[in-house]
Amino acid sequence: MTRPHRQRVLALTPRERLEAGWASLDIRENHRCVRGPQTGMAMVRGRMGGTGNAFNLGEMTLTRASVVLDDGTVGSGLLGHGWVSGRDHRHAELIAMIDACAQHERFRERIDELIASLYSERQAREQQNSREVAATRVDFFTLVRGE
Amino acid sequence: MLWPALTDPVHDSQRLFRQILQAMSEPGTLHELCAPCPPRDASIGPALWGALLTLCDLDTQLWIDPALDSPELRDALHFHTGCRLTQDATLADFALVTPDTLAREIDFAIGNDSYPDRGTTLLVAVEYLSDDGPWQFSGPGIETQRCLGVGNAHALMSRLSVNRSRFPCGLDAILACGTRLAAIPRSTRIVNRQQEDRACMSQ
Amino acid sequence: MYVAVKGGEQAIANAHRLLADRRRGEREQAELSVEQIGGQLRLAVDRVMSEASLYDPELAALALKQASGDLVEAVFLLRAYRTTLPRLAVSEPLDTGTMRIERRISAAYKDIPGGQVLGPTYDYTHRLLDFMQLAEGETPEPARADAALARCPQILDLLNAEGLIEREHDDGSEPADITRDPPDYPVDRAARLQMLARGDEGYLLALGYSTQRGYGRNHPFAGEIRLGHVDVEIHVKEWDETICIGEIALSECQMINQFGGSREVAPQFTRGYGLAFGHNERKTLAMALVDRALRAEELGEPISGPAQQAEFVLAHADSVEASGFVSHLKLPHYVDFQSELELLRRLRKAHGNARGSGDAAMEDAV
Repeated sequence: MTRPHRQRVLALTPRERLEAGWASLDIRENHRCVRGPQTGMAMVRGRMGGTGNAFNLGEMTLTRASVVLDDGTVGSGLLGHGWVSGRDHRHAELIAMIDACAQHERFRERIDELIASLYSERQAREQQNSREVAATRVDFFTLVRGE
Repeated sequence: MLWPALTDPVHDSQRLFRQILQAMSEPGTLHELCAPCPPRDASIGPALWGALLTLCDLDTQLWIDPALDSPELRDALHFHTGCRLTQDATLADFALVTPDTLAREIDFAIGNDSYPDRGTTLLVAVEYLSDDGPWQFSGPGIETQRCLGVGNAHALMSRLSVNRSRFPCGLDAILACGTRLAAIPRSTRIVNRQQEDRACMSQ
Repeated sequence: MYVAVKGGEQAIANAHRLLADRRRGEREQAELSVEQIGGQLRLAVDRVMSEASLYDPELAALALKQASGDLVEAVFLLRAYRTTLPRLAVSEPLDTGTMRIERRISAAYKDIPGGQVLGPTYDYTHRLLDFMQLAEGETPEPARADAALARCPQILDLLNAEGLIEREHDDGSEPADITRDPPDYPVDRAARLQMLARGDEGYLLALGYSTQRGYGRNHPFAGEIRLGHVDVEIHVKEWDETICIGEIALSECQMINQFGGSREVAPQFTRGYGLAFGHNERKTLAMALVDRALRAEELGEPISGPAQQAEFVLAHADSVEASGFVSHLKLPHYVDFQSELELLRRLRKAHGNARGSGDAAMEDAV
């Protein structure tokens, strides 16, 4: 599982769900923040006509955090990073901590399982939503013209 | 790859910014900055590192003299400030330099008459900084005159002393040595007392 | 002229207390929560985000609550908050082709890949007040199709095999940013779109309408309108990768407009583009019309309507600027007005004297 994929799933998962999922793994590593958690903004860009030159659409809130694990036995010094839209410091810190832990062999499998299940939950939600939208799709039919 | 930064980024940078502002508004006064240690391989002191952390962000472009450049400094700057590094000194909002840098013909931005604020601010790592030295300042923010010693920095000081001829365009400079910092904005008149003395004697 | 005026501190403090009281309303009523505003007044929330130029649904809902539902005031509050945050990143340009669709229609093509998807729209409602809403009845679950929606590609490029529609290419240029460099007219299309995207919906709607009524007519068709969610990605140097930080709701409108062609270019359809945060369909339609109108000069069209005058259109589109300048008239101008009074008295006196001496001269002549 790639880091960007993990980051995406963690950023798209509601914080409460992530908190519960993380607690269920029972990984207890002390960490400390080396950057943030810090809330700022990202300038969001669009493209003219969807495919043309970029332009600045407007900004969105963004929170980031970078942590390092304290425990010397798991090779501390590896940084974990997290970014998430919005202003939730805890969410960004959680993502960064999970990213840091996922770099260690002994945690990786458990973490990847969690990511996989969060991802399939999200896909199920998207599927559900898409079916609701699909019900509003227009079925055109042509009226038979009389002779 | 642990780079020391401000422990409380919001309040620490406000405090440091206030000190830099004070230094700018009273040219030549010395200020002790309580700032974190710079990255290990960087040849700058805590005061200059604190100034970089305070002044640089995603919207600023920084030019670094090769003599001060190091991979760790770059990584740390990027990690904490997000500032962009530029090879083109004319685009630099800030330039991290030594006094010798100014001996070379490098074109820093001096702003223009509509936007004089677009000049480069030099962040100069000096080897010596005291309130007793050959350079004598006068001008805004100085009641009569003020003296500064900056070690061997002739190229730097002569570059800054021609600032007056292009006012309101020009270069501002923040000089730092260890935890100590002083500023010479473009509005300051600079005279070398020793040269004046010599000139007097030769007459 | 502004003069420092002191006084009224107690009156101001009490006015704020009174405002808080009126905002809260009858205490027997349950207080409106920010979550309720976000969940049930989402179009107002989306409009505030779009015009404040800051995507944060919770803060936009808070701004609406604080402003007692005054949209312009809420936009002001959120825009002001925006200035307190540092910019940490710039996103990769959004790929609206990957949008998770809530709604997608075309008024130009009937049969499109993915189909015409109406989504949660007020179109086709009868605009009859629904008194059931007064009775607080139960809302039924939405209908669900058996299968999820098929992929809905961007159709303008897809259905343009003949090259009848202008193509949009990315030349890689860095877009202007009006929040960093103040606009210096004339501005390019990137700056125009940024200004329109934060522009007041009512204002853009009126201008778009004016083009339809003949003031700079450009014969529009709604090529494609889509609403939905799109990933926002930033490039992070820490990993040298592009990563997703979350998703945002977006509205997009691709307008197709007639163009007679020029000596160099064969006649073809040109395009206007609208993009906005949240569910802001009307705004994106209006924005696309105005975007196309502002391309008049580039396309060599005569500039005949107000909507084609870039500086006029863009300099007055921002509701925060507009309401700020209009509202400043409420500030004390006592001294200013006194001096005008003085001036007027002198002018009237001079006028009277002139008439008086004129009459005297007449009498002399008689």
